[in-house]
Amino acid sequence: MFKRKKRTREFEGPLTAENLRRWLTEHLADRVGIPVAEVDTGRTFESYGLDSRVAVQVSGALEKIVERRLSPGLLYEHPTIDALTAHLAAELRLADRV
Amino acid sequence: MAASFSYPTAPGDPFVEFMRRSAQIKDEKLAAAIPREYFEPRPWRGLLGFAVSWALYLGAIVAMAFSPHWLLWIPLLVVAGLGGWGLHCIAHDCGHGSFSRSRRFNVAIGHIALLPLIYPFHAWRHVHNMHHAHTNNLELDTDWKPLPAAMYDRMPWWDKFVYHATRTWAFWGGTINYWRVSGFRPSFFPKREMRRDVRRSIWFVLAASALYFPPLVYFTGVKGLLLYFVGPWLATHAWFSATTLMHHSAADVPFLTSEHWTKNAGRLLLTTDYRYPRWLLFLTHNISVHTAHHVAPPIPFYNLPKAQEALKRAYPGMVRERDLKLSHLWTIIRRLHFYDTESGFYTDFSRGQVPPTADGGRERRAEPLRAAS
Repeated sequence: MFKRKKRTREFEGPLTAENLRRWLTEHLADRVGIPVAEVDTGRTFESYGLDSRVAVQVSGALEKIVERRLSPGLLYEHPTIDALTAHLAAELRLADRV
Repeated sequence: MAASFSYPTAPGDPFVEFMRRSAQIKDEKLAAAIPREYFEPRPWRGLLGFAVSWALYLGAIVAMAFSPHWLLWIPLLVVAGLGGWGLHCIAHDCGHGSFSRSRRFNVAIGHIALLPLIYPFHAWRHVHNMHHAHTNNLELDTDWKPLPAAMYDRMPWWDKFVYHATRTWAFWGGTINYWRVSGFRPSFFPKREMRRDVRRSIWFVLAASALYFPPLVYFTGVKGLLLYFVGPWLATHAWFSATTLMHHSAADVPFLTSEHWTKNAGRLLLTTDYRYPRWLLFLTHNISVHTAHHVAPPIPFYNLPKAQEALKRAYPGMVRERDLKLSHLWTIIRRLHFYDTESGFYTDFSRGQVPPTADGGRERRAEPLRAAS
């Protein structure tokens, strides 16, 4: 009881910039319904048709991964996977890879 | 799109002045101004507060049961609410670990003290810690954060209704809304341990409710439930909402984007304290001595007045204190509705800029800045 059904993809491996980028890429592919290989990490979330409701959900899912509170407007402030990864990596002082 | 959070877009002198003061204290160790001995809890003093508030809460409810006329219910509900609010203030110390040195004891007292609100203690505690970590941060504060008008315009009608109501006529329901949104939702919390804590507190509240409500309804009926529980619950929320709203909303106190917000500004410059009469200070366990509390949350409530004096000596002119007047609350619910993306302060629902002065320009009528679109 009170446990939500997992609708989002599990985060695998240690928290690194690379793993974060991979999770965002796969998450976006799931949301949009396209193959992972077709995701362009330099394209804006908005151009993929993600609305503000989804943006808030994604930042909520990310909170659980980085275990800290994030701005609900995060995806607007850092509108691409590359920008968002770079921001979180700097903010959390993440290694690029293990 | 990145520019969308670069607020305020047209900062005036009051904002610049605020940032100057903020820069002045940026690297200070504010809590060092408060003597160490004020951090020491005296659990008996805390328990006295706990007993006084339970007595007030239960006494008012018993008095309602024996009241000769229903008109007396109204003042008695205010008193019951004050008792329930006092209990919340005790739970508040428990949440900050300042009730006693024992974590278990604090958690136990905290859970019991929040029963009149049927508020899961750990849910409240973790949300409250988020409020402390980000006081008046436009993006991350959890309490009474004003929205930019443009964001409000894009919200679904129900969210609009709740926002509009809780910032105006239904301000007393603001904390009910927070309870609804985060009290029973472990997924609100980023850390796994937080979610585990919250689930435990929810079970405690459900168990206590299962033990208390059926006999209450059986012996006193629906009327008893409304009169002896729901009424005092609403009244407690009214005290809770009014107090917390007034602490962090004022026409001349900005909300800040992360770019401008600093920890020390959140601790020292963004709280307004109200001078309560002594009896009210006693019954609310010094909750209105609030700046010292934000500078050093581990200080027990009975040491806050002394701590506040020490803080005022160390930082003259920085601690905001006002006399307690209903007109302050009136200004907030009448005018302080939206975050003004231009000035960094407030606009009202008609998009009229509220002058960032102590009285929120009560004397003058501000012109709407732009057409309501």
